[in-house]
Amino acid sequence: MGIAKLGFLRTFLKTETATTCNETLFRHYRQTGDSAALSTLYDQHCNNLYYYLLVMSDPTTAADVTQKVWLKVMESRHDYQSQGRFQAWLFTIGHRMLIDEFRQSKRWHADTDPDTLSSPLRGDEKDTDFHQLVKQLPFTQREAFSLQQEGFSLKDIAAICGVPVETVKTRLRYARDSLKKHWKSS
Amino acid sequence: MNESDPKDELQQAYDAAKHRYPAPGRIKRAVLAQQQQDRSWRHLLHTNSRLPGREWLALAAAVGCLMWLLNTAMFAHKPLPDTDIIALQVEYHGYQDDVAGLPDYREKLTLYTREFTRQIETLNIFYSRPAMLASHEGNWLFTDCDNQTITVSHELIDDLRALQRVDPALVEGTFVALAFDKQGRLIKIEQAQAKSC
Repeated sequence: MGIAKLGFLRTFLKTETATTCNETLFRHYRQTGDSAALSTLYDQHCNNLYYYLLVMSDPTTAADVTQKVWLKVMESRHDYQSQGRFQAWLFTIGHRMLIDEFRQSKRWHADTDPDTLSSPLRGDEKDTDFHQLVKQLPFTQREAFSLQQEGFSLKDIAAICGVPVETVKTRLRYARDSLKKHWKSS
Repeated sequence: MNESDPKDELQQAYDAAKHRYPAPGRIKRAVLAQQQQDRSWRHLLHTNSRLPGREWLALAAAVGCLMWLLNTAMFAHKPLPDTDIIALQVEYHGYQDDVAGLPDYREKLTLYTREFTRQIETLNIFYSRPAMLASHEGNWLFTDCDNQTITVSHELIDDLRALQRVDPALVEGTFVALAFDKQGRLIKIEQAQAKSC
């Protein structure tokens, strides 16, 4: 039975595009509760989700929220209705749970306020640690940039953050300009 | 629509940074352990569904007896409802042998109790209205069963989220139950189990 499941998953990976595969896998998991399907979905998305949350917070919060997001996915799997957008749904839950976490721990301040747009990177010197450089961006710019690097369209990012597309464009422009100015590839 | 170029230097740097910070393995173990636990419960229910009719009858009778015993025990030790306790405190009128200064305290207590009662009433759901989430960009838009649009401000959504009264898994097209209090104020948005219209 285990071999049959593995074969089933391999067939998915070979024949389907990544998005369709995600949807098919999730549908399979929703209908059967199959742990192998959940495990495959987890392997495909977990590092992306975790890194997005790590860029937006700290290692402890990122790990906690990542776990909560997957538990929420399991709990709400029968209510999932969007077609072809599993990854966007996953990151939407991640975005909301992270903000809830900030609010609960009273860490929601000016820098993490979604309306903050200014605060350019410090100094004129070039940085060689890209992770630390991204973390210096204001919250909203960091989020827009990170989501774009995860492959989301402007419309997806707008939906995940709950803001208009034009706002996303502005945030991305600020973020990319700052990073290009300060990033020095080694 | 995506403006990101795969060969973009920033994209490469982002991917390299992500590679340096993989998700801790304990998250996967915890998630899969929870999944196994859920499956065990389902398996137990599935196994029980194979019981023949006589065993089902015995099980139902046992559960019925247990419920009856619990009900009896709870009735015997049933505390007064909270509202009754509050009413007694509100109606406190003092006694002649009260020490001086105590009435002030009692007045304050009465005021606090009234305020507490008012807040409890605010939290009580008066009625629930089925709707569909049509948009969650900025202000949230819902469409109810009569095709009427309900707009909920971004600020109110933020407040409800802070109180964990908005289900984080809501996306466009999700059917929801909008819960209102006696004054018609929206106090909770939760996912509906199925299309309710």
